[in-house]
Amino acid sequence: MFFKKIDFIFPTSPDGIHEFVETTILKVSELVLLSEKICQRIRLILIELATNFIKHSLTQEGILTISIKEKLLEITMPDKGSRFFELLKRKIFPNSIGEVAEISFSDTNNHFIKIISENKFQFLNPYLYDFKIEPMKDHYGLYIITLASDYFSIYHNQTSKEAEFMISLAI
Amino acid sequence: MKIQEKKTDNILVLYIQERDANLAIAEEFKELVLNKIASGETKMIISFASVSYLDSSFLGALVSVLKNLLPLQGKVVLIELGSDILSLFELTRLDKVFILRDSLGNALQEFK
Repeated sequence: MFFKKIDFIFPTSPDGIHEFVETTILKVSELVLLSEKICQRIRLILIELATNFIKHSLTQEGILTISIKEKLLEITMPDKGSRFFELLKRKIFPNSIGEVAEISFSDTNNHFIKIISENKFQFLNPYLYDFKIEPMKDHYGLYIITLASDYFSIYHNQTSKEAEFMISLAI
Repeated sequence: MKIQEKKTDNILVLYIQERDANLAIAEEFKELVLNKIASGETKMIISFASVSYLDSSFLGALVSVLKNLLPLQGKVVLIELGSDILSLFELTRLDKVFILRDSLGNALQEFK
């Protein structure tokens, strides 16, 4: 079974995002054939993850891991120090496990989140479920990742004791 | 932020001359354009011919510009978007919200 895993270091300033994204895609392309369409989606995801890291991370060092298992590409990124997971958890519960919660971070920034477990939440593509979504948002980061990926979740990693984003797409 | 301005048929044309339209310039861009709107510019065209990628911060800035123009019956047309940027607009359904054209000539027709 084909399995590869590579770590990439996030840029610490916006100037480094372009090179980070293109280098990452190049390295992944050396391991597995990627269509232009898939490259575009990966590019959008990486841009937003890098932007999110630069804007919100409380640490200077961020590692992004890309795993390729057969026809599945998985991207994981620790959400170091930003307390986003706790904020999300407070907004999500009192809904129940298995339910879909509509969460708003502002008037125009709403997301539909499936509660997979007490510590794992999946961002749902609103267009696949016909959920009402405001297209003119004030923030697009999480939204872009949700739409560009096949699966986007945040969970609490019991081993590292950190929250992690996990994104996957079929390649 | 490098941006070139021209006036054509009383329409403000802004040429963004940065490869990366991202969080580094989004706020500055938004302020510049909102100041233009406050000075009475309500017809504008923004060219992305030099831009390779655009992130969520810049997308938010563009939406803010549009939201400020709408109550004034203003109009903004985005032109010369590369395929990656176009696919971002299609992905987020903002291609249904913004007027997107491939050239200045076609964009100017929107104001006739």
